[in-house]
Amino acid sequence: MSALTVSGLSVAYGAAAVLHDVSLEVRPGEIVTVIGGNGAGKTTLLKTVAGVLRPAAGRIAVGERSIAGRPAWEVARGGVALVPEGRGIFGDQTVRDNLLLGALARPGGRGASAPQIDRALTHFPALRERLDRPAGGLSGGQQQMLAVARGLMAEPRFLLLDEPSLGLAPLLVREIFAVIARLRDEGVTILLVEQMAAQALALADRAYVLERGRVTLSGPATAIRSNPEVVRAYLGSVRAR
Amino acid sequence: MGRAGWAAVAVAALLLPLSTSNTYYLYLACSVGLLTIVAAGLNVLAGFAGQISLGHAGFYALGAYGAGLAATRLGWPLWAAVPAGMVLAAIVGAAVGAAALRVSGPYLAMVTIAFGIIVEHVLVEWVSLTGGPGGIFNIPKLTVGGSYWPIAGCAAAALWLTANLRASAWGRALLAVKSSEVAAESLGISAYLARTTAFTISAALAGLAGGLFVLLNGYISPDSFTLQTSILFLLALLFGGLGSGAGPLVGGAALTLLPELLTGLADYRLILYGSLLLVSIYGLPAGVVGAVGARGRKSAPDTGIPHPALSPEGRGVETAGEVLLGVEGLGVSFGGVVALADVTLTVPAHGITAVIGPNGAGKTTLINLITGYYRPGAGEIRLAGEPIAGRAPHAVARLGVARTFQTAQPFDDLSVVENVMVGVAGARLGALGGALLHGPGTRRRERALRARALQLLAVLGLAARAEEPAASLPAGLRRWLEIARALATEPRLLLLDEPAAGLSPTEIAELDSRLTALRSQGGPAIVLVEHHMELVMAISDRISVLDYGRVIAAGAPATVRESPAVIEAYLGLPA
Repeated sequence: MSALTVSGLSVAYGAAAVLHDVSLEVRPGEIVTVIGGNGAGKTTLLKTVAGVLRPAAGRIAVGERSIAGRPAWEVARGGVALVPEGRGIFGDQTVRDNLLLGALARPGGRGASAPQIDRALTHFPALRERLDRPAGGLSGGQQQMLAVARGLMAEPRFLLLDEPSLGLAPLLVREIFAVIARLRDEGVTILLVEQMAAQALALADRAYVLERGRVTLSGPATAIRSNPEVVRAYLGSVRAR
Repeated sequence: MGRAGWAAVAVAALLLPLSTSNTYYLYLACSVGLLTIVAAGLNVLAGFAGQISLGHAGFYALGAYGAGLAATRLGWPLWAAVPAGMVLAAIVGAAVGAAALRVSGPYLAMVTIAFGIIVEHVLVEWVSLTGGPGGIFNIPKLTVGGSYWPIAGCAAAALWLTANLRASAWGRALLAVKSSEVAAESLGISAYLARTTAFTISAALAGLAGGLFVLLNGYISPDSFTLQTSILFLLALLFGGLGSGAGPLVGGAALTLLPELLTGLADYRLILYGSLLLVSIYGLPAGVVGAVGARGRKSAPDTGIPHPALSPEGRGVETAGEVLLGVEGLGVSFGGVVALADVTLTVPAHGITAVIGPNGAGKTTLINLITGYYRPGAGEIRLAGEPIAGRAPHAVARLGVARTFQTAQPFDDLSVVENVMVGVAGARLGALGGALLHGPGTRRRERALRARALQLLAVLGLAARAEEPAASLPAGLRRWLEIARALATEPRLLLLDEPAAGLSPTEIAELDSRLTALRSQGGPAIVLVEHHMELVMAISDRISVLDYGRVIAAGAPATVRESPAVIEAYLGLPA
């Protein structure tokens, strides 16, 4: 099994540079988290890895195979599944159809059978009861669950989760993190981008702190947890007047 | 098209009837004139205000039948009948516009198609009035040579009036609405009123052309006023150049003359039109005029004119400690999801009040509620004691509330200085007639607006770029421009939605010093929504923290920075 490596990655929107020389690695079987405040560039990082955005410079590779600049659908079929920020549910279609669409990116073929849907729903009993309802009618928490389940339908080698806690009430945040923990225990490799640093660090094996588009801290999650610099990265420091 | 180009066209137009008495050529020239008039009107609607109509053959028909019936049934002379048709088209245009412009974009196009079809069918069915499919014969008419002068004169007038309009506060307001309706509303412009005005002007010019069509032909029937005619009108404008001064003339000439040059293809005219449409959309997105690059130069600013400051119109002056904005118990939900609940916020008349919080906390929603873009479900919003909750964005803006947007929204079709002029003028667009005729009052106002805008640009360090199109500015300067435009309305309260987003560290340092300077110079009260914590902590006088739509902390930066609730909101709690 090969790792997902990002090295020297820079991304810009027009003239505005968002990521500067970002490097990280996700090895099979681990959960790696990227934390940081709003506007740090977390979502940009995931979108670039998933092929939604094109990098200005740098390398993104699965094993030895470079995927930088490849179109998103090709990256998805290569085993890198993005669960986007804001969920990106197909609201007009049923929960089942959303899951079947997720299976299109499976390596080796299209379509999915009932057992596969069954397997993807192991951790999401609420979705099982609503398989034939339009996904747009689900609650925010259920939609997030569906987005994760849809990502799993592709049987990806790397699951990219972009702020799964966003917009969810604290109870649901706890629930979604519990699901992520169970996926990890099953051996799914996860790159988790989160603003909720404490929860993400409690779960992850290793962590990177992103600040204004640069990696300012990295290391084992336990070490990052006790580093006071993390609070400063989020809340800044007060200027003396 | 430059000055020389227009002079050449004018000379050619004057010489044509003197150099030939061939009625075929003169008739073609008249047809070019008619199409130019309609396209000039459509240019106001589509090129300036950004709305597409596929029903202008209906207004063309109203002008033609109005003039024809006035001449035959009422026995009016042609010089009265033609304007009567134009007035009829304008009145119906105002009514249709007022009703239809609640929708815009593709929906408006659909509504106008329906309008055109209804007019066409009324012409066919109302036999006693319109003569049915046979139409109206024997309308008194002029010879082709005699029609030439009124038509050429009206075409010249249409081009001149619409060019004047473009250069006035009205024209800038229309282009502003086209670029960004929400931003235009934030400066006090009613997008609905602007669009309806544009629609009425375009209907009036289509009606005028219809009346002149009667003058030229002396015979009208429903066949001349079909959906295909409407499409031809729009095509002439798109082919010539949407929004450009010479576009209507170039497009009118091309679409009249090309089919004549290709008479062998007579039966394939529709294919030709279709191909032209494709060519103009793919090959010439800015039309022939845009492709030739002959853009009209804007006159240089008159530097010799004194700067008459536009005084803020009798707005109350608050003292430092007074509450300017009071938000009480504010709540709103979207589709059952509570976005804000029981939010209380007090903004004094001076200084910087920051509103921070994690993603999705409801900060932008709060700004949208204060500025009238959303209606609150509960609670009060008071500006200097006056309740403003539930008012339209442009109405709130007129009370002295300015804002910027998370994604900077300068008006890309306007120059930098024009952008600021939209802000200076705000809702005060001046008389429409004066704008069309470029009267002395309008000229004076224009100079004052420009002078004031240039002053502001100088203060904000944008003076060197004043005449550049806003679209050419780099990201950082687009932000400045948006802030300059908001300040141009001389607001009491300025709401900035993530002004540092996408700025480089140097630009952020500059933003820091500018906002600090604005505060110390007694500028408006500022509400700052921002994620860049170093900036927030550095320049804010007080901070309110939102989380899950509720205020979880409020106070001085140092206090908020240490608050356990705030740290938890941002970093979460370990499970």
